[in-house]
Amino acid sequence: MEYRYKDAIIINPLMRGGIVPKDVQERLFKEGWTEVGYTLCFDCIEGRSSLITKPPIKRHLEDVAKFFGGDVAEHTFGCRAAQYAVMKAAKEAAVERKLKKIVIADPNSHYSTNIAAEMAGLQVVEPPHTGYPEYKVTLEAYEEKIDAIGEPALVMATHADPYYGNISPVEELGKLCYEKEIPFLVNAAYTGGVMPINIKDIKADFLTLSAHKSMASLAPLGYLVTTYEWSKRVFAVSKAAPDWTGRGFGKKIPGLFGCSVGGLPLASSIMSFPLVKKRVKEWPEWEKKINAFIDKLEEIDDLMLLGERPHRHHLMHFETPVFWEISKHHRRRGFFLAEEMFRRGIVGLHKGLSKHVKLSIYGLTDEEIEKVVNAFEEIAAMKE
Amino acid sequence: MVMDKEIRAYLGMRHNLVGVKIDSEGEASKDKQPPQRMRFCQMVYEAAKGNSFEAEVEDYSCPNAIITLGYEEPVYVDIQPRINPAKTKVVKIGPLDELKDPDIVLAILNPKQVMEISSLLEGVEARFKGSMAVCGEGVAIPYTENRPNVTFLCGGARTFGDYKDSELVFGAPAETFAKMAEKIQNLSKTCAALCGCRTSDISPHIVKAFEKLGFEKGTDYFFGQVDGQKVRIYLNKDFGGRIKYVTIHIPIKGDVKVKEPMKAKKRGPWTDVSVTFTVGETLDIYTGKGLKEAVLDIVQKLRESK
Repeated sequence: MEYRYKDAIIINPLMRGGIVPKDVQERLFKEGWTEVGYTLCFDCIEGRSSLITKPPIKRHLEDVAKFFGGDVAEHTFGCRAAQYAVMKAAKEAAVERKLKKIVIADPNSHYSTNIAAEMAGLQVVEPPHTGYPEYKVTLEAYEEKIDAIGEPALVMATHADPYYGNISPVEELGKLCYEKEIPFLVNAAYTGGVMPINIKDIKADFLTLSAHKSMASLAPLGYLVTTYEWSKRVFAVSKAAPDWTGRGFGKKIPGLFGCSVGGLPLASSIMSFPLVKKRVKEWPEWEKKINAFIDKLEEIDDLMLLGERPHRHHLMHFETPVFWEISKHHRRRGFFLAEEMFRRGIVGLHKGLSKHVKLSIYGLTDEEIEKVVNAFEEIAAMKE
Repeated sequence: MVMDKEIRAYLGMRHNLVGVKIDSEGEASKDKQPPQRMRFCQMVYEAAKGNSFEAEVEDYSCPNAIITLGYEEPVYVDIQPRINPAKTKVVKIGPLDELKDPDIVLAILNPKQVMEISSLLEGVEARFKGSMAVCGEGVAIPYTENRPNVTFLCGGARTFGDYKDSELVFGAPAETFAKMAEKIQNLSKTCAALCGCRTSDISPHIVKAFEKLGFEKGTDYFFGQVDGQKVRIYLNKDFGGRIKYVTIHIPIKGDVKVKEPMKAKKRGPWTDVSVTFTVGETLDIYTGKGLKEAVLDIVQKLRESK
């Protein structure tokens, strides 16, 4: 087993916001947090990792809730588990209130949104996006879909989508859902911890986060931030008891599979959180850098950004016909692009694809960004 | 054998695939001859559970199999289906991962699994009549006609062979199964993904029609080059998800002025030149009819307007 990518420049947009700071990596090993899978659980008294006070997990979750403008937060086995908890609660509420067992979700949502809905027994209905080349999700499309459906169990929006890095109109949607009394979930897996988002400002009922995508943490770890209004339902504890022993699990939360992560990912997230809070304030600078990078890349042959512009997120999706042309004559076909980048010390492009690339420069130094631009220029020059 | 695992996993099969080899010379190895006379269909079911057999003519308890598998010629009236001329000396029957170079492979399936196979093979023509089934319809027809067949079994197989009411047998030449395994592998590899997920539901028929015209599918749209100009084609859906329009996009760096029906929209350093057609009016996305002409016309008009 060999980790081939040590010291390489990572440009995978799923990974950039999750890069674990060097000092946190060192602490994790030096302080012994890697010794066992349950390093956070030695002083667990109440029987659920989110209630542990030594180390201060409980306080950390209060911090997370506060930072994102919520009342309550729980950590989860990734963002998908947080989404599942929301969908499950929304489905139960829909059954009680005789609403449609439908979640209206944006057409650029991550697959895990759809899997969570499927697991919870909700049908996903999508408002159309604007199509090529911007693929924008609009408030009007949501409005039209909500009117067509009537009373859905939930409306959800992916804050920044994983395909184009477009920002959904969450403020307007939150207002709309608030007026219509429809529960509203914002999946901030790609934004929470990178750029500002506040659950109260956007009038959302739920915010799902990915620590390993956007909060400088090891995987798998997510957070679910919600309001007091919903926390009672979404974080409801177990009430069941098996018939023979009569045991009870009163501190466990069924929606979160009982008790969540108690090891390395959470330790890393707690250590990284001060940095995360600080870096979110620097987001406007990054927005400028990202748009400058787009300008530079679009000077190369026919590379063209898909998605909205000015771009408001670090995930960039470029259409790259020039690389596709090269791939047709290259012995490694579509794999040549990722391999040529790797030869230049840059990793994270999806292997085998040449018509499109998704990438991010978030958190890279200016020198590293320049190296990425140069690499693309050099590879484009391979065109015969 | 990889093929066996691929197919069983894809179909969710309970039993092994069964290989059948028809030998016109040699003898059965003693340790593989059935312990007592058996029906061919019984041996197949046993093989599906993991046992191997080598059977000579005396090993059968069912006279039909002796004719259909080509051990002997019929005497008074012709019997079909059968392996003809009758030169068979030994038939080897065993789990596919144990039997080398089988002529025919049999799969014991339920109707849903047969449906999935027929979908993989883009159709299967079945010929069955409820007699001489596993031996004749399952082996002799695929062997003599070099094609797959489905048998609903016969009374003998249902009574003595242990087959469940819900089970059918699909028989085909070994190459057919090899092709199926390849298709299954390709299906698992190619789901037009950026991150392991399908990014659009454009039907394979449409993709094929566009490919014939020289356009390749990207994420949810098509790339191509017409008269030296790179062109993208996006299929717009209506509110209900039906493909209603075809939009031809030609992004051009810099400012471009165009005439109707072309539209130009500025986007950063790009001008998005596009024309939208209603599906079915002037072009057919399922055959590609009219598409190339439409694109060529736009490319030429664009060139004139520059």
